[in-house]
Amino acid sequence: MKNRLKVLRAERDWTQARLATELDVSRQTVNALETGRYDPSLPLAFKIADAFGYPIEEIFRPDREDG
Amino acid sequence: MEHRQTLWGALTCADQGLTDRDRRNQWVATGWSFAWMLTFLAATLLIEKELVSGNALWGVALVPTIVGVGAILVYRRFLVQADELQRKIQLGALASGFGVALVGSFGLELIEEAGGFGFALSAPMIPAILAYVIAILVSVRRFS
Repeated sequence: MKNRLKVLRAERDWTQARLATELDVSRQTVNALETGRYDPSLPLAFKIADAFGYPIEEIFRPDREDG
Repeated sequence: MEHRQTLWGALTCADQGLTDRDRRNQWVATGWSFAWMLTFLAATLLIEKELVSGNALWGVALVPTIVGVGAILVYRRFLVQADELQRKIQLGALASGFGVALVGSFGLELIEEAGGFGFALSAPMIPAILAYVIAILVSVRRFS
């Protein structure tokens, strides 16, 4: 899954640590999400969407949108 | 704010920006694990050197197990409350450790029957712990 986490975070001038605190996860998790090494659970995806004020589908999209 | 890293955290390199809750739970779990190790070593020493006898012997033998159950419960709480990536890493490592222990136990039993080599009951635990540690290190590297 691809995401716009890094871009959205940069737009707000937030550090990974700040976002981690907002989401109540570790900085390692934020880093893994941003680099696409880890896909979040649905509850965490909703938390992320809430933190940035966007719907989930505007932040995350599948690698292939041919489904 | 700087935090001191636990031995467990240092071992797993997993203390990078852990949440306060996970760090606290990790410290508690590390403490209980050390307590279990110390009571186990003390009990082994007391029993082997025959420093206790009678009913006290049973007490000494039971203490490490009771402390060990406490360590399991504390670790389980850490796992349940852990950040989801941390939980994924831990569960993967536990699966590796458990698999190695299971396969190792039966494998060593077969080797023992075939060749007559005697193994201690705890022999498969060493590769199991190694498998757990290696799986943690691989996962931490993968997700960092």
